[in-house]
Amino acid sequence: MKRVYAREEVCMACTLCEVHCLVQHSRSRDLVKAFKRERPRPLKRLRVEERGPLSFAFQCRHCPEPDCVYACVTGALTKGEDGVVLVQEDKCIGCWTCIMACPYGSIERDLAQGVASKCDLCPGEEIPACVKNCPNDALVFAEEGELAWLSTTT
Amino acid sequence: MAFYDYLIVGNSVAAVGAVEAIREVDRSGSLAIVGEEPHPAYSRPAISYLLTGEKTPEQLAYRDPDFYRRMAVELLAPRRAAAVDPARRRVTLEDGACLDYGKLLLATGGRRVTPPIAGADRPGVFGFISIADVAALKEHIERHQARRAVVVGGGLIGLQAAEALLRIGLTVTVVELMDRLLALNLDRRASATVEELFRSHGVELFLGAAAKEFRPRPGEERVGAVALAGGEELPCDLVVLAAGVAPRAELAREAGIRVVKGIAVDQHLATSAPDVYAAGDVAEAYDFLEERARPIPIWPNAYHEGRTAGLNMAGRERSYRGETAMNALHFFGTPAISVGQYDPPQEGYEVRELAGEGFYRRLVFKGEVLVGLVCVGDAVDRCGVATGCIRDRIPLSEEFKEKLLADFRFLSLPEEWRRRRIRGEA
Ligand SMILES: Cc1cc2nc3c(=O)[nH]c(=O)nc-3n(C[C@H](O)[C@H](O)[C@H](O)COP(=O)(O)OP(=O)(O)OC[C@H]3O[C@@H](n4cnc5c(N)ncnc54)[C@H](O)[C@@H]3O)c2cc1C
Repeated sequence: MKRVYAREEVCMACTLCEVHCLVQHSRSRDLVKAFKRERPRPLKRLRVEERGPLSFAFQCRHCPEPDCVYACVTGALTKGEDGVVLVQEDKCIGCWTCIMACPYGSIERDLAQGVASKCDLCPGEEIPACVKNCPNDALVFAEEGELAWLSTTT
Repeated sequence: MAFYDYLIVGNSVAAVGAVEAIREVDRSGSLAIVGEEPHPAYSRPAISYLLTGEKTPEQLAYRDPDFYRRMAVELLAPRRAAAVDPARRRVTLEDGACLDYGKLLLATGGRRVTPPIAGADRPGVFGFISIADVAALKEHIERHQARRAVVVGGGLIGLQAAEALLRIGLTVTVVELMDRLLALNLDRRASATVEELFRSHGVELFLGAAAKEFRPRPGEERVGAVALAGGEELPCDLVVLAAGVAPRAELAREAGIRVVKGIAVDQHLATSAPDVYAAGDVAEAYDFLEERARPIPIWPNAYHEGRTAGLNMAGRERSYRGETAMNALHFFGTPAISVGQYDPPQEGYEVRELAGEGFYRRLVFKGEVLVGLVCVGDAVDRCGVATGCIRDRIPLSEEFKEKLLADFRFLSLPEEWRRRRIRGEA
């Protein structure tokens, strides 16, 4: 399946991916409203890490054998036929077993709602919002097999 | 008489893990589950939400209502398996039915341990491991207008019961044999945080205390007080007995299958009998940190074991990667996580801690490798990054040990591992 991959050699840590991710996962889909007015506050589903000139954005790998799904004690986390790993919020009890299990650190606590929050690859969109809005092609949406060039440039 | 290519005894998470794995490999082989409880597989760790009324039994279902049909599983429930005959490949049910199998999985889980306390079978003394336990407890509370509860056992299950009882308005006392709560789940400092949480919510704790007798109410059979070995008597309207669980391995033992504490299994989750597998709380699978097999009665491990067993049963050879002890707990809104050897078993380990307001983190290293952790409060965020270090035995220099302690993120990993994680390589 296609996933989002980071290219740290061209990421500038502008965090526009985080901004657009948050807006995409808001109810209003409006930049100002999403950041300033919506309650509960929408959350971004990816994180930018930065130290000096080094930076990259990162989100869920939608693993072929997802530790989070296997660990989830209520069945709130599922991997669909399309491979996307999703949280069913009404089933999540906020026990954070998934946070303990995910080696990618890609699940966050939504404290307002008491549920796990993670990348859903933007259902309904051809290209996830983070990738679409990256000004530098520092995020690519690709099959694993298409990645040879990525690993040689990093 | 019926024949199934795959037969599973027990209908909980290990069984579901096996079913999902079998169906990845074999869409058409016949598959049945014998389940003693009259429910589809449900979230045992969430039964306290039944007590508080936040969930109904239906909402506890672990999978969607269509699961068994979708997976072409015949669910034989509520029915109990009475005997296994590995030579004839036959399971006999209590109602006399005989089921023959190609491959058998024993996923019978655990049962509550009943310590030698006089009056442990008195009315008003409850376990806390099933929907039925919670239903009985609830019924008792309503019928007797119960107001005071004593929970015997300050481990994970007892404390989940204690918090739920408190939330529905009872006065709760916890009696624990060890000198601290959650002695099997947390280090001393994190235990102290949890003790403080319970005390501040008005729960009285008796630590290092043994319940000796459940005494009746005057003129009645049902429980009216808990007598402690130290002489105190705690009046109560009910007792929750949560002194631990043990593998429910008697089907295997009586069939001559090798049992140590749990059912012994190899790296394919196969038992000593041909074509018989075991997974979940009933089995003792490989702990990659302790480097030995032992029962670790936790949900994620039950799934992984069930999954590995299922793949092998369906003919796709897969070695169990090994799991270890890990727990994610939360009491009164404060989360706590522990993984691996957070209390160093002997000399030769290095402990690093970081603590602040609502934040406690402890990392335990053996040489360059992280082997255990405890996180409380906001320190749990992205904890799996560190769990991954434990699993993958990532060598960490002094620099990266400090980075990891400060922040669970990829920049706290050595470059090679950072790149591997970003590429999503297992
Ligand atoms: C209150 C509570 C809270 C918990 N919280 C957590 C938590 O937060 N995190 C965590 O990781 N773990 C937790 N656990 C532990 C977790 O629930 C278990 O590790 C897990 O359920 C084990 O799954 P299993 O499939 O091995 O068996 P079980 O869930 O024990 O199920 C076994 C099933 O087999 C059935 N069975 C047994 N014998 C027979 C027979 N002869 N015939 C037919 N059916 C039979 C039983 O009735 C039962 O339904 C908790 C447990 C309890 C009780």
